[in-house]
Amino acid sequence: MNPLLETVRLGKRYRSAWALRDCNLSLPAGRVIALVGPNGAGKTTLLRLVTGLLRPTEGTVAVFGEPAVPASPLTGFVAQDHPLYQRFSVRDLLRMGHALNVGWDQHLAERRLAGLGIPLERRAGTLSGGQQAQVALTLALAKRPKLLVLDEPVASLDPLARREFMAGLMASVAEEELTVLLSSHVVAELERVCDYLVVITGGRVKIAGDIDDLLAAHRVLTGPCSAQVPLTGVVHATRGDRHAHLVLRTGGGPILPGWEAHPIGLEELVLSYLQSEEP
Amino acid sequence: MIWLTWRQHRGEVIGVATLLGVLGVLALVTGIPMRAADAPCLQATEACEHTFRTFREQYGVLPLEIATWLQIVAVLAGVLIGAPLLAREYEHGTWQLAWTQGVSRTRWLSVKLILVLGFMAAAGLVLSLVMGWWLDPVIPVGFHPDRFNFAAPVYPSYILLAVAMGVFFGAFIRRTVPAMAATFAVFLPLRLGVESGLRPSYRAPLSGDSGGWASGNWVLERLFVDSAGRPLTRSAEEQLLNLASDGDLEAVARRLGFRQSTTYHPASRFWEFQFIEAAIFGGLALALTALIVWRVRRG
Repeated sequence: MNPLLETVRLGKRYRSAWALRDCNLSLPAGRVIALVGPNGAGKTTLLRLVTGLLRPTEGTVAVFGEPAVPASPLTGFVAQDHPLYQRFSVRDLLRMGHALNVGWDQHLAERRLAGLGIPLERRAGTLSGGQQAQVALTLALAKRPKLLVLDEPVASLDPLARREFMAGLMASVAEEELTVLLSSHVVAELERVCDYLVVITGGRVKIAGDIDDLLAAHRVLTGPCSAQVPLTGVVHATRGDRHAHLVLRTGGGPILPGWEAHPIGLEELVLSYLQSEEP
Repeated sequence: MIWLTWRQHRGEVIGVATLLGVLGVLALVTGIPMRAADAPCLQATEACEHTFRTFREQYGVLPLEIATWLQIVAVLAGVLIGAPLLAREYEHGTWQLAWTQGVSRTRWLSVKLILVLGFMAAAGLVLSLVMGWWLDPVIPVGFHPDRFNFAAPVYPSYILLAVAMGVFFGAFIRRTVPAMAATFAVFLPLRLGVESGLRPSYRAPLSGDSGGWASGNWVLERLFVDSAGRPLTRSAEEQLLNLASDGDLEAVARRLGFRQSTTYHPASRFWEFQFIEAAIFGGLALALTALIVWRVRRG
C-alpha cells in the first residue's frame, strides 16, 4: 500500500528548542491514525508540518508522495480548539469555504449541518463548543480532502459532545475514502475509532503501528521481584515491594519462568511507551 | 478572497465611511456660507490683518478645531484597523483556518493588504480634499502645518504608513493589544519627529529680508542683522531692546541701521516638500509591507 504520509528525519526548531526531532514515519492510507502524546510532545508541530502551516527546519514530509505544501486541496485541517471567525454566520463560513476551495462541496456541507440541526443563520460565536467543532469539521470535510488532520479535536468538549463528534467523524470516514490523522492526549476516546497508533513524546516518535498488531505483540508480565528480568524487549518496568510489573514486547518468543503473562490494553501500552526510557 | 476581505472588514469600512460622511456634511454646511462671504485681503497691512482676524473668528473656529482632532486619525487607523488585521488571526487561531483553505497565504495576504491599504489611502485622499477645501479660506498658506499635514499626497501617506505599521506589529508580535500599543508608541513620535526635525531641512532654506505667512512662504527664523548682514552681537541686541522698550522695535532698529533677516522656504517649494515627505512615509510603508509578506510566507 502506498504510504499516505512519509517523514524522513523531520525536525522543527523554534528559536533554540526543538519541538520535533528526527521523526521518521510512514503511515498507511485509508486508516484512522491516532497521534498520542502528552501536552508539549510535538503533536501540534507535526500536524502543522503535515498541513504545510509550518516549514520543516530539517528533513522532509510528504503527503501522497508529494512534499507537503500549504493550502493543499488534498488536506483538510481542524486546528486545536476548532477556531472559526466568531462573527461570521455559519452561512458566511460556508461561503468562505466555497470562495477559497476549488473542490468545495456545498451540498455536503449543508446536508451535514442540517443533519446536526445547526442553523445556517446563527453566528459561529453563539454556537455551543460542540456545534462549533462540528462546523469546523464540516468546513474541513466539504473541501473533499483525501487526508483529514484533526488537532485535539475533542479536548475542549464535554463527554456527550465528544461522542457525537467522533460518531460524526466515523460516519464521514465510512462514506468517503478518507484517511484521518488525529492527535490526542487522552487515550480512552481513541480506542473505538482508531486503528493505527503513533506515540510521540519529547519531540520524538516512540512507536508506530497497527493497533491490533501492537496489542498482539505486547504482554504485561507480573512476577515476584526475584524473578529474572528478560534481557530484551522490556518497554517499561515497575517494581513494588514484592511484585514486579513489566510491559514486554514479546516478538512471539517464550516467556521466562516465574512470570505470569496477560494481554495488554491500549491505554497501558501507550503509557508504558510514554514512560519508557529507551529512545 | 475579495468577498472574505469585505466580510471581515466591512465594520471598518462602514466606520470610515461614516466618519467621512459626517465630516463632509459639516464641511459643506459651514464651508458654503464661508466661501460666499467676502474673502479677506491678504496684505500685511493692519486693516487687512483685522478683517482677516474677524473672518477667522467668524468661520474658522470649527474647521480649525476639527483639524486639530483629525491629526490623530492616522494613528487611530493604524491602531484600530492595522494592528488587529493579522494579530487577531494569530490570537484566535483562525490563521490555521484561513491558511489551510485552497488559497495560498501569499494571495490571501496580498488581496487583504491591497484592498485594506487601498481603501484607507483613498479615504485619506477624500479626507485631505475635504479638509483642503474647508480650510483654504481660513488658512490660505500651504506651508501652515494645518494645511501641509492634511494635503495630499502627504496625508494619505501618513494613513498608509500607520496601517502598514499596525499590520507589521501584528505580524511580529501576534497579539492585538501589544501590537496596538506598539503602533501608537512608534508612529506618533515618528510622525511628529519628521514634521519638526526633518521637514525644515528637505532643502536648504533661503535667507533674505522678504517672506512670511502673508506671502505664502514658510519662515523658519527671523532675526535682526547689522548693516553688514551679520547677526547682532549681544551688546547690540541689548542696546536695541533697551531703546525699543517703550516703542516700535522695527522703527528703532531701522534708526540704528539694523534690518530684519529671515530664513525661509518659498511658497513655490510646497509640492516638492509634499512629495519628499510622502515619499518618506510611503517608502517606509512599502518596506514594512515587504517585511509583513516575508514574515507571513515564512510561516
